[in-house]
Amino acid sequence: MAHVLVVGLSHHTAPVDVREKIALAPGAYLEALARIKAGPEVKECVVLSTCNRSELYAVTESYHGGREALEHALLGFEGASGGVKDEHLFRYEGAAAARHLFRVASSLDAMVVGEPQVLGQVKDAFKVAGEGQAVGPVLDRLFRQALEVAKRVRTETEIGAYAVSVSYAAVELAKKIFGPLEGRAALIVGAGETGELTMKHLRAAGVAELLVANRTESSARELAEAMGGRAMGLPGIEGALAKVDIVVSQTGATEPVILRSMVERAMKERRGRPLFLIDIAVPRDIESACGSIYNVFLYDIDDLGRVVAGNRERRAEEAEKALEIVQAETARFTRWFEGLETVPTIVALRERFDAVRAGETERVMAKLEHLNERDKKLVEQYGEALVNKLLHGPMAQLRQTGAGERGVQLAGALRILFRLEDTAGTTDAAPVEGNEGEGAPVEPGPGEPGA
Amino acid sequence: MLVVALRWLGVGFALAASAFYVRTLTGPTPAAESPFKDRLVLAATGCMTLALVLRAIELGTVPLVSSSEALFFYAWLLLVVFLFLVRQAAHRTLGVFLVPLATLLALVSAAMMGPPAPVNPLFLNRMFALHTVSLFLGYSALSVAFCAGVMYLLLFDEIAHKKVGRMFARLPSLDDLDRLGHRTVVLGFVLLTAGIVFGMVWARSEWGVAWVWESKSVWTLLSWVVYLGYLVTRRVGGWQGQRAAWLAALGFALSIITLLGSDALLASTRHVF
Repeated sequence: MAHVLVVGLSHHTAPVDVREKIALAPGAYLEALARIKAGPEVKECVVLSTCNRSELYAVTESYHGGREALEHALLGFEGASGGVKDEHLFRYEGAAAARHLFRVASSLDAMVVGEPQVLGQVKDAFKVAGEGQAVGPVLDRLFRQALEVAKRVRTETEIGAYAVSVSYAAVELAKKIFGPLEGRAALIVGAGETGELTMKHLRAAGVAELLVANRTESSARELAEAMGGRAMGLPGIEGALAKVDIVVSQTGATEPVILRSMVERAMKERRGRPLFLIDIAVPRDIESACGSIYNVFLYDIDDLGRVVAGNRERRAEEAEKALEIVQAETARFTRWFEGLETVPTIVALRERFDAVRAGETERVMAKLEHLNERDKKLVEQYGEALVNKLLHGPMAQLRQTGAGERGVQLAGALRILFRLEDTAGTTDAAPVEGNEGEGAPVEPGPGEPGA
Repeated sequence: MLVVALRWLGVGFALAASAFYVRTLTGPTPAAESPFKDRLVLAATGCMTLALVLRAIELGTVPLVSSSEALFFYAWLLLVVFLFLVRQAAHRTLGVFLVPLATLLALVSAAMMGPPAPVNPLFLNRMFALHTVSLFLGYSALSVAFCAGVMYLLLFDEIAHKKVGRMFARLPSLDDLDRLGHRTVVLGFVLLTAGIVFGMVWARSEWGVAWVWESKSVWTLLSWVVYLGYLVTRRVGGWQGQRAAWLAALGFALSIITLLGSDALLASTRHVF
């Protein structure tokens, strides 16, 4: 009986100094896959390795053997020796393994829930494993479904809709005030890290013109060069306020750099055009009274922090909805996977009965040479009808129960009672020519011939 | 009979569409957008267009000879304008406000439907058609400005009070809304002015006086002044954004009073509606 397994470590179970030891570059996937597949236990395998997780998904012959093989493989990754302990690893099997992959793919297991990069990494892992001939029917189905789940989560919930970092939140706000930022101008005052990051995001969002102001001209020039902007000293700010649409300020100054009177004068010159002031500095760079000027939008670090906190909460709410989707999809996968167990049982049972019937018919026919063709046919049909009638009940029951735990139990019982595991041996012993007229034994007729 | 049936059918579709549009604002996920509600608007507009055309043929002039019909025409225009505007992604959410507004007007109109009365021969004049059609075109543009204004104020409220949430996730940007409002006020103002001038020309030829001081004309003049104020303050005083949105709302309120309520306050003699 096959098992779906995942063994791995993630930011939930291992600190970064452990994770970095075991991380694989996508270029190294193929070699790792080949090594894992070389053993007898693993039938299918996918390697997923990012900076937050390294995981091996596999279909194995047995649970314990498979688990050991995967653990061994994972610890065999370059540099893993020493440092990686058993407690850093997690293992899931069956439905839990499927649920884990679905959560990973839809970014519910991510460090920042809802950030979409991991989906691309899952796609790549699946693709590389396919190229390495390591994916069979089970993992193919599992990963395709994982990509579907991720898509469903993205379209049916708002999990990725809210910015959860200060810099992104500022950009989102700018977009909500100004629309597309193409052709807009921005001013950055000071050279704080978050301020620079915000400006990079603004630039990426289309901001065309960039002014850089700093207390020291040289640092202004440096930053302006790095970002493709124009440098100036602090006295230039007031003039710039009349021209730009967005101001990001993060200086180390202890007194406000941008005063209400400056903004008021600038707004007169702007003829009411809105101005978005982003104050990331502590202590603040922009007088808070600027926020009450008409068409001036002022956000300080606490305001942005509140927006981010609210967005995190919203993402958490959305994650609840997403988990429901994951739950339903896990059930769907499990049904399919367990169906893999019951269908072969149905086929094997049918084959076993047919083999017995064919063997017995042949034996008795040898003693009934005196019968005419019509009577011989009757004897043969008698055997077929008997088998069909006897099998009809159990078959219908098994089909109706279908996949699920009960179905697996029934299938297991049948396998034990009729010794179905060694089907191949018996069919060889008893020739099955008698079957051919009736069609493939795989597909039992919809009803008994007599009915 | 057919015309009445079509009008009600149109109202039915519009009601269904309104329900869907309102849900996009109050419902859980805007991500799962379906084109179904746009088709409902299309169906409503189709029915209403047919009703208007049939009625126009029957009358021999624009089908605007009673309050009920005027409102119906107005509702229809709003839906047509919306179908044009919705092509731009930034204006998609406009339907949340515009479609229910049109539906409400169509409903009021349907409720006001009376037995067919003899048509005043005065209405067969070409000037009647020019006067009423330009005014209603103007009102439809100004209604869009009103909806954009309401949306602006809702979003502004969230951004200014630093409580981003529902509107932030669903509405287009403040700039989009402000510009849409401005453009439609300009258009609406021009049409409103044209409608008033046509009315004056017509009045002069019929009654010999260009301006009749009665309730309807006074209210029209008031809303015209408000929209003039919108344009002047925006140009001279930089009143874009919040204040402009409030002015658009005020102008719209006055227009609605002109359309529906002015007779109740002070009877008009010359204006049937």
